[in-house]
Amino acid sequence: MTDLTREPEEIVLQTEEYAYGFIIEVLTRGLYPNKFHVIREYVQNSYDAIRTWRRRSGQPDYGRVHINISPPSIFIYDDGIGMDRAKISQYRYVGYSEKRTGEGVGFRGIGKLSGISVAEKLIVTSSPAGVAERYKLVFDANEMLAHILTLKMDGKNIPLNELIRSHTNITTEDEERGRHYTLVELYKVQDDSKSLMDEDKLAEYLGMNVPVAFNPEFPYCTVIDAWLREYVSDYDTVSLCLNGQHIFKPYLSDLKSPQNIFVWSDDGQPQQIDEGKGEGESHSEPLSFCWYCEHTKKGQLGDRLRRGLFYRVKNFAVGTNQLPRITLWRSSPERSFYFFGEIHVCDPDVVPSSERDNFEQNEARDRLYEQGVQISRTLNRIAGKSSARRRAQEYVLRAEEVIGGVQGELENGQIPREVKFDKMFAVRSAMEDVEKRLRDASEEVKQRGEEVIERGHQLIRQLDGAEAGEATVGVYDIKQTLKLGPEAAHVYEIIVTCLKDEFGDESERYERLVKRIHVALEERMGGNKGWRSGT
Amino acid sequence: MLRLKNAWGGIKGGEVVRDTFTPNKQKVREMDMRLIERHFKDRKGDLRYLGLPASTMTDVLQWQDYFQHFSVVERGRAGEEYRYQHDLMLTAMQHGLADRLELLRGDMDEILLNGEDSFGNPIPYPFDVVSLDYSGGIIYKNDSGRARRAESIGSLFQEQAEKGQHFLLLVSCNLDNEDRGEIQAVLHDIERELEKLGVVADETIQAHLNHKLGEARLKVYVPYLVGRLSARWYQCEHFKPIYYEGNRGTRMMHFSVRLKRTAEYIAGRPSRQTLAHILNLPAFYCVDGELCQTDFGIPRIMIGVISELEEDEQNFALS
Repeated sequence: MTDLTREPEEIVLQTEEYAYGFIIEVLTRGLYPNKFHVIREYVQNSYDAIRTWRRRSGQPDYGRVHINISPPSIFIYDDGIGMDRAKISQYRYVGYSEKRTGEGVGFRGIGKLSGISVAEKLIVTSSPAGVAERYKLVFDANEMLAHILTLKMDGKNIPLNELIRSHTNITTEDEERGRHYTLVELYKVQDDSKSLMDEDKLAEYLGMNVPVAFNPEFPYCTVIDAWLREYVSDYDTVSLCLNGQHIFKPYLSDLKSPQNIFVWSDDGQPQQIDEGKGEGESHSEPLSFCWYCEHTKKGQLGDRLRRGLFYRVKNFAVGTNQLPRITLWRSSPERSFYFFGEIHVCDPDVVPSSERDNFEQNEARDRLYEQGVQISRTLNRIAGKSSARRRAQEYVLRAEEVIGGVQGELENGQIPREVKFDKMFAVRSAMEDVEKRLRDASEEVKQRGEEVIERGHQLIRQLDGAEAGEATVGVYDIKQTLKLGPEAAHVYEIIVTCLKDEFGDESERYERLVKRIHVALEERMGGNKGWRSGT
Repeated sequence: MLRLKNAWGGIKGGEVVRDTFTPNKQKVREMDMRLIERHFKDRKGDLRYLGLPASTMTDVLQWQDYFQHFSVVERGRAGEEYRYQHDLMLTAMQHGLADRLELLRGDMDEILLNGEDSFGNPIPYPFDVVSLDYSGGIIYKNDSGRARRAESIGSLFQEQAEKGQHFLLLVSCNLDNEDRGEIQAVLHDIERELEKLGVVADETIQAHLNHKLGEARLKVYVPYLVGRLSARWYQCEHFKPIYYEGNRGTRMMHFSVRLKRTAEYIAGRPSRQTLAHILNLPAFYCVDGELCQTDFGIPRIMIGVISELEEDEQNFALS
């Protein structure tokens, strides 16, 4: 517990001797190019406060975060452990945090002041558990930045300590002893940050970036949540409402059931966890845990923002779906978007960067990326198998179509003798394509493939032996059908041979020409019309 | 009363009054609650509220089961408006009401007149219950002599009427009026109007004017004002006002009126029945949370039988 008797001024003297006011301008203006990150910073603090209270109270599901957009302000409320007098005093100090790396989500002591980059005032009211007081901090950002600007114009600077003290105010008020909470208000959100007031955009951002639960409509939410609770030690979720609307992690449709991969710090193979079997044996440290769902359909998933994998640390997102794609995929990176999933980082030495678009460069990150390649390899292999399986299915379908078509033509006597060998060739090619891909096919497709090959063999035998003359079934010979004399038949053979020479490589075109000639001859000379029915 | 205890950090602190709970005010809330229950019993959980609940939102918290939306107005103290507004939202968050609540920042009179708050947030009309719990008097006029408060209440009526809304209006004010002869003029107006209608009311009017308690006059003035401002669209059903000693010994008076939307040709100037009803309507005084009825010892105007409305209201209020 923090010593409440200690005066806040003592902390001031210890922490601010060499800092000057201009640093505030740098920190507030340049740190958050994406304004929504400011909201995430406060949700992080709420999350830490709620988890601390959960640990203390033994209530694992306790706590809620409420965000309310109420122009010109945004409010972020949590019923976590709250801040005592000392902590609220420390709140003002840039870079001061009692959280150690890996302990909470935030730890740099900068994010708590991020509000002053988007609002005219930062107002924080907090009441700690067990204390019948509440503390209100008002940080007048607008006034402070104006002060800095004036000093700058005069070529002066000011110690950070003095600057902050002159633009902040903390008051103490009575509160019910049992209450514990923190309310942050970003008062008068500035014009260049008005996007924060867009409820839909903020909801989308929060759903993708903060540790909320999976949408209960996501069919695999329960199984994935159970995995994460079992295998990711610092995984947790918090209930979050934005203007009364529950925020959940988004999900995609057309997904196969989820699978997982555990990546370890040694160079062993990635391991899939089976229900009830635990984490396996003799591994070193877990680096990451990945769950993924494969697209049920061909190719990449459609939603450009949500498809792919996302890194998460303590269930907060780090970077976009491009980060795993860039850092883990050495080949076929497009295949990362055949999947939807998350990579939860388990190594506490992997630290998100300030902007949360990547991790800080260190050995742990290198190890994460190096070993994480196992994920991309596994997923590429799965995607490759799926593609092969899908191709096998496509070839079986095509063979069924080709063989079925030729079979039908044969049964109706629609195959001219001149194209018989082309038909046989087409059937053989389709059979060979299927044969080549049967090993990749699913059992069902394999069975269908074997059946279609058998049908193909039978059809070839039929074609080979079918020279039915005038018959309406099988292969017909136009010369016999029209009872051409020897000279006419000879002329006909010469013409067909020329056509074959010219269009032999284009079997369909050749067939079409031959059939047109047959139709023309039939119209002028009469004869059996049976074969025309299908032309 | 909750007070700011101390301040540090560079700016001097000061006393901040956050709550004004008194048994008398609580009794008033309970009476209002009974009115809400009585008039909206079939719409529990579906009502819309506009009001001035202060940062502790005691009214709202006690009535919350009846409402699905609260539009709350908070002005705060000049230069520190944000503190009070922040505290109000804190109360809402603590009690899980923030999602049903819209904070309108600024002065209620200005907001009603402009149709929006200081930051351009529009008033989301209509409302079922409007609670104007003024910290000052109702006969407030600005420096140019304009009765902004009355004008703003008129705007409220017009907006509500345009939505075809019946509603319950609750008004609290103190007796710290900058009267400037306004009440006296109104009582004489009533006297003249009754005279035109053939009712002699000079004795009753005089008794009001001479009464040692300002409450005796205010209990006529406010219903009359509401009646006049709403006459174009509404018929008013006035309930007995309650006067009491509020926080820090402030003399407070509370009014409640049910406004029924009518076709314009039906509404209009107050009838003699209405005027007589306003004059005859007794009041409650509340001491230590207990109600007692009083007619201030003022003679009633007799214009025939007491209206059923009045009878019904009396029975309800006394039950």
